[in-house]
Amino acid sequence: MTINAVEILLVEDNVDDAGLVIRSLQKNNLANHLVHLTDGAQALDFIFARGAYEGRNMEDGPKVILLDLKMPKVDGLQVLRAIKEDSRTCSIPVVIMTSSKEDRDIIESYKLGVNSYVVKPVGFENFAKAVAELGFYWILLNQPKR
Amino acid sequence: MSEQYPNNNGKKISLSFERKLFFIFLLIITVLTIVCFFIQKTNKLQKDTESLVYHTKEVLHQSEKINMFFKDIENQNRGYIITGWESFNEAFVIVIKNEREHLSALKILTADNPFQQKRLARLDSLIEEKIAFAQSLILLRREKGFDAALKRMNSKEGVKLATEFTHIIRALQEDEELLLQERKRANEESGRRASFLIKILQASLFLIIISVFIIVFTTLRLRYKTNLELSESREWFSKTLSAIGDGVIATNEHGVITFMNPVAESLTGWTISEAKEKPLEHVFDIVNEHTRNPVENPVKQVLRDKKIVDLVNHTLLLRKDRSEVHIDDSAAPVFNSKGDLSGVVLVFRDVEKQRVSKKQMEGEIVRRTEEALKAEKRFRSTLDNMMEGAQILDKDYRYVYVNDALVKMAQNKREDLIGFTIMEKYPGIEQSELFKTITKCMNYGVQAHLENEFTFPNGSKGYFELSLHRVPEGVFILSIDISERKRVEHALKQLTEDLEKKVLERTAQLQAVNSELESFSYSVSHDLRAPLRAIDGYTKILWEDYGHTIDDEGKRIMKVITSNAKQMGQLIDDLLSFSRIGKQELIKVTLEMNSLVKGVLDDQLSKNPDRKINVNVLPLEKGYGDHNMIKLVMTNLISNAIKYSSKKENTEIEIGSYTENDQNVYYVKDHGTGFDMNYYDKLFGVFQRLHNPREFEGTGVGLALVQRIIFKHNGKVWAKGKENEGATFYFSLPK
Repeated sequence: MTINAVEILLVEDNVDDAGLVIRSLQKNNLANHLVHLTDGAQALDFIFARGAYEGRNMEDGPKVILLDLKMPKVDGLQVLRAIKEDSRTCSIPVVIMTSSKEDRDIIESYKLGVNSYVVKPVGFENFAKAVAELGFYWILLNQPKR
Repeated sequence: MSEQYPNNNGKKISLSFERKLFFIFLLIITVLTIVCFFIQKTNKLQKDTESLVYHTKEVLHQSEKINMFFKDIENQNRGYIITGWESFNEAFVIVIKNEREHLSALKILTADNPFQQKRLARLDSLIEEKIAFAQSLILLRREKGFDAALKRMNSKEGVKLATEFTHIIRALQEDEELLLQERKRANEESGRRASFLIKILQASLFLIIISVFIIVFTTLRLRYKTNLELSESREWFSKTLSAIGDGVIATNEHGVITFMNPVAESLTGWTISEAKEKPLEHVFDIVNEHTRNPVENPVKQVLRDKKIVDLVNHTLLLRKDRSEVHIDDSAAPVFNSKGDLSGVVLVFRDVEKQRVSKKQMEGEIVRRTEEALKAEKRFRSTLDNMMEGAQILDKDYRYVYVNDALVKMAQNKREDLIGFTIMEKYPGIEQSELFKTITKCMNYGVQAHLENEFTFPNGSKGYFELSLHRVPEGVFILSIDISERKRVEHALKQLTEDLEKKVLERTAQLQAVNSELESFSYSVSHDLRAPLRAIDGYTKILWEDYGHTIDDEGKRIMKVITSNAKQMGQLIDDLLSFSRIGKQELIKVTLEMNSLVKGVLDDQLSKNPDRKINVNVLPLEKGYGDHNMIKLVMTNLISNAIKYSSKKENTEIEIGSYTENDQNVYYVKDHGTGFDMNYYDKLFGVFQRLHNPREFEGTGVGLALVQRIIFKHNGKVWAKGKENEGATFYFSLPK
């Protein structure tokens, strides 16, 4: 991972799901500057340029974060809270991806300041389409403030 | 005797009444004399002051006259000097005469006032000077003519005279005016005093009249009342004496009969008219029963000893017809209000009957005593053998009676109780509530009913229900041993507490299970779906990337995989919503069922655009429930109806409602595949299906969900159906 400018950070513990997301992003030419991490702790290290990612320039992105909720160690909501509480990262758009329609997740995410919410359905096409559209939207139309 | 009362009372009343009248008369005379004296005095004073006023006025009048004539002297004098006519001089002489007369009159009037006298003397000399001056003017006029006279007239002398005169007369008048004011005031003052006195006179007369009236009125009323009472009491006495069962004879102080009542008449055989005025021994002839000797007449004894006398026993009264009666009598002296003996009353009765009845009485007493003894025995044995404990404590808290039951309850022996006090048997009992209650009952007769926990000297405890009643000896206490009942009550209480504890425990367990279930369903929704997504997604990739190398059978297999994955996804979603319904709170509102049904129908029909569906919606009753949930129910029922009619050429659906037992019942009826009523019990079970999924797709959750929602609304769900003829699903909602 030596790409300087990161456009999309995908945080997803399920490799199969991640593969599907990456594939659909690739199809839309959005996966060129994509980083995939498999748990919340890694994601926080990456975002705040520390631990294994010390020395990374925080100004290099990401421009949008696709975040799974249910992950080992540090879960999606914790990651989201850390991002939104830090003034350096709070303006990065975060899209929550989850299999759950449970009210408490949605309410909690919105409380923490999530930008979008996508439910992962079993039928893959709709999901892939939604992810692609959302990624596109945030990268191209909603440039984060620097 | 009977004549004494009115005299006594009447005298008393009239004496005080007359005295009162006399005093009032004295008072009136005194008041009138005093008031009249003062009026007279004031009147005289008024008259005096009036004459003084008049006098002063006269002085003023006279002084004014003097003033006037003084000016006239000048006028006549001037007239002559100017005209020279003698007629003026004639008038001048008259005026002078008048002036002098008035002056002397004024001198007399003011003789009592030396100050004014001094002034008048000065006036006198001034007048004389004036006259002399005027006469000198007349002479001048006559002898030297007008001019000389005029010159002299205007000289200082003439002016000075007039000025001084005027000055003095004004001073005199002013003094008199002052005096007049003063006297008028004095006069008015005396007038006021007179009228004030007259008012006092009026008021005192008025008061006197009123008090006289009140005294006379009350006295008359009292007298009337007393007379009435007197006649009533006289009548009462006579009636009482007449009604009395004993013979009564009254005599005067000489032993002469004055009164006999009817019993006395019948006992003696004499009537009152015959007996009156006769000596008593003539009518009341008594002898000793045994000796036949005359007995001394009791009236005589009383007249002699002035004491009450009882007749010796065994006395016989010889009646007028000489027949005999056994009597018993007594005589009493009567004293008048002065304490003098004024007569004797003799009371006697026939004792013949008494003698007989005394014997009967003795028999009766024996019989009653026997009865009482029997009753006592009966009561005592009842008390002795009663289940309840009975005890009697005397006023020193000593056991005087205990029955067997009590002895048993007290865990003691009878001989260890009787004669002992409760304080001796149960030391420390004085401090207990029970002791206070016993004392209250004993002293004030307060009945009591109480439950009492009793600790025996050996430390064991018992519960007793006690009833306390006051009895002549002290207190009667009835006790029932309720220890067993108390024990059961206690056990029951313990049991209830245990149960409550258990309920709390179970509730907590239930809550734990519930939250476990919740997290279970949460992870199901996440984790169960992820593999399905992978199966579906990667099958798609296979299809997209390697589709050209797979033959048709391979492609069919891929389709099967995809559709199964989707089916399972649906199953999970349905299951989740089914479990969510259970947790969800109802938000009940009034439901416009027709518009609700229309919304569902629009949605469902648009999902099956290629089907020919005929839906007949009848007017529906308004419902009451959670809008979203009831909509879910309708969606399930209508989509079922459509789904299970798909094998028929025409789809006919009817939706209607009716009211039954205060509930609104809604139904959805189709003419589709229907179902076998034999499997009715599987209809509403979760994952229970009556049809093959290949025939009709579905997860088997829909009707279970419907049932759960309707149960939550306290309604009911049921269905009727027949294979290949259709089905009707009903649900009811409370109004």
